[in-house]
Amino acid sequence: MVPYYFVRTQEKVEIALLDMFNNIVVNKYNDITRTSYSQTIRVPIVINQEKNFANWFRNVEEKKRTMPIPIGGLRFVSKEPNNENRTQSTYARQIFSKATERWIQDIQPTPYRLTYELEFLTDNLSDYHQITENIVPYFNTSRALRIKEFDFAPDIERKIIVYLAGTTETFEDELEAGSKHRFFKPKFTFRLDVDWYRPFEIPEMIKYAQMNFQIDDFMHSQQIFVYPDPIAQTEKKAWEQLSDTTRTGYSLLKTFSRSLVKETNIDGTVTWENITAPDAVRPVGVPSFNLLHLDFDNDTSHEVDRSGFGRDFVALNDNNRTFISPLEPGNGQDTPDGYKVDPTVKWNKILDWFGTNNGLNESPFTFQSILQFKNSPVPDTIFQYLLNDETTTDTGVVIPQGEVFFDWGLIDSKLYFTFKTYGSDSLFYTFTTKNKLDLNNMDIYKFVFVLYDSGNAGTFGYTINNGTMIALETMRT
Amino acid sequence: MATITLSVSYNLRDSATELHNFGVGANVSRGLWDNRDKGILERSEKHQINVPEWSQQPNTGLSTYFRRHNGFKDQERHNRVSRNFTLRQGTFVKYYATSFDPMSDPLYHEDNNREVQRYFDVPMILTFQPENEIYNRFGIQHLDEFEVHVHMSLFMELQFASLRRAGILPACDPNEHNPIWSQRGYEGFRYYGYSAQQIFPKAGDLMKIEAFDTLYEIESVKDAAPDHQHRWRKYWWKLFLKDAMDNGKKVSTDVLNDPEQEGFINDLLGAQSGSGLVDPLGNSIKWPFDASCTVDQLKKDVLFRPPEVDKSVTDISGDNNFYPCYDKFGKW
Repeated sequence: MVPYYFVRTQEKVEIALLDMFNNIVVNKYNDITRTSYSQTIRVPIVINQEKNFANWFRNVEEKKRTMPIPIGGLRFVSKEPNNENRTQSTYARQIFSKATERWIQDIQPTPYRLTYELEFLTDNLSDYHQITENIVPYFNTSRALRIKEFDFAPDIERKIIVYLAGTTETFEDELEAGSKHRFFKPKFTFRLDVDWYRPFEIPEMIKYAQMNFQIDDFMHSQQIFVYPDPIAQTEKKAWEQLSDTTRTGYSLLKTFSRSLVKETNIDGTVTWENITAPDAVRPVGVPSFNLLHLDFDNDTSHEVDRSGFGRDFVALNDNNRTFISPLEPGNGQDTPDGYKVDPTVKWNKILDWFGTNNGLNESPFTFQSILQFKNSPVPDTIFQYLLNDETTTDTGVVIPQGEVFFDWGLIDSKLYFTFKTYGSDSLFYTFTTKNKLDLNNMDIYKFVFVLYDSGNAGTFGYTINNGTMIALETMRT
Repeated sequence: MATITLSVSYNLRDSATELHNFGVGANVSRGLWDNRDKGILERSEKHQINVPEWSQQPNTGLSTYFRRHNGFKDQERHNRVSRNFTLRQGTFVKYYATSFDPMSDPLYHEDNNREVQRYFDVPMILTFQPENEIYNRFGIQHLDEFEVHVHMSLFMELQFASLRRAGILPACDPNEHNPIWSQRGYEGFRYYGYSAQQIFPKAGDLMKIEAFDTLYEIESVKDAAPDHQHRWRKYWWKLFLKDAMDNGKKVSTDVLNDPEQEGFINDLLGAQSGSGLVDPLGNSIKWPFDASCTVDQLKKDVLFRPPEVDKSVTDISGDNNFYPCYDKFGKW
């Protein structure tokens, strides 16, 4: 079993349900037209489930307190599985919480149907009619409770349907000799559709450590997160590593944090300069960072397909776990130091990735190239490029040839990425790393470029032989 | 100057009036002795008490079997013996008389505006049984079901005095006095002008028994007690009691301030207006098992605040825009 877990699912439902019937009042009318009354009495409401909860009361009170009447009592009756509303076993839902500015991914909820009885005690017909008239017309035949789905995301609403399944009346009004109170007892039976959750953890750090490794003049910092295994698997980014922990069921998620370079000044003092791009490891302000992965894998004659999918382009939509239909811009025409586009490329798709017709880039992208240089790398080379032919969009706008493109590669031994969009808000930027890279033809490199902030920001990173991802300080020109 | 001191004394006691009794410790109230203008009943009463039926008759040698028997004498004697037994052996009870006007609601004939109007003490003959309680329904529920016997004449004497003290006028002519209602019907009943409705014990009246700090309510009144009847006359009411409920009765200031009742009822009715208790969340507890205040507190963390409900609203679900189907009822 998982650790102790209590989020008060049913308790919250009961609080909301009690609130629905809280603060009912009855008037003590003193005329036949029911227009004037001597007083207004609040109808208290209790939960009448326990058998011995009154003991303390008897022990602390000097005299027995009179029970107020009319009074309402809520009683939990039963629960049964709500199978017709059960989700698929692979169900996963992602919701964005604006209040907390993060994505929440839940797992399969457990739908149940709870049954409650709400019974009132009244001792006269006037109170009886007032109470029932305050309740019955509002259920035709259902109403909805509105509660917070999760404590940690107050802006996500869960509507709980409350069905008025039936009413029962009991009249104990026979005026026979004996010690019986005169009661009119309306009883309402409610059925509530409720979702329960087994323990799940939102992808947030529950334990954290930062480790600094000094190698010669470099200080590499590594952040280590502790996650439950299933979450660690889903949270792991391509450049991060997982390793075991001493506790079963948890993994260490290791990610690169920063790199410092040692600088010795003339006076002998030592300072460390941070050569890490700020927030490079986990770019901030990219809430849907995981939404769409584009894995570009460049097959050359000397490089195997590393995508695992047998295709050159892989686009993964995390929302529905489906792959975008095959796009094959690689393996094309001869281009010096680079690749050319296959004639079958559907440029509309490219435009879709790069935003709408106004040219803004609405979705963040991750571009990735895994390659090994055949010869010693030249300072200037192109990994990939795409550009459009003359295209007429669905709205009739004609985009001239070459107006929408991207290409990336090496320039002056620095990584660069250039793209251009078309429209009223068209963007045309080139991103480069600040420092030159020392590359060779022995290692396999994985270059990653993340484009985010509507296309206005980007970050480079790379790994060597599937090692730790190194974030690179990136400049936009 | 010479001073003469005159020592004057006088016996302030009432002139000695002979108050006969017949030897069981019973007293005859002064009023009955002094009231000379009543009918044969009262006069024969006095005679009967002074010359009891069972006193030794002169042995005349004649059989008295065929003597016409005066049943009224037996009835009155029984009445006085049982009345005085109650005074001597009864349990002290605080009695709270309530108003009751079933004609105030001509449709249902309910009186939902009853008031505890008067308070007086009355001894009663109690049955005793251990207290039983049950906790599984609407909090604490007492199963105490007392049955008490109230002596009619004694109760009406004390009720009469209480009515007079409270200044409540009799509903009929004060000269009408016809208290043997069991033989003459409700309509003809008068107690110095007070009607049965005014002076009888009735369902809804409250009482506190001396030994128990519990407020009981009369659920029903019964006069059919054959075991306790004597010569076709009834002497006892049997009251069926149950623990009282706080059902909206109001308490008059006369009762609240009456020192004799020692404030017993003062915080037992109208508890919805406050009990002086405070729950762990700091709310004033109206009634200890009432969850209303707690729910009002807890719902702040539970309920979803839809955008339609303004952020300044503290009572979220009290806002008209909270329930999504509100417009189904209010705006069509």
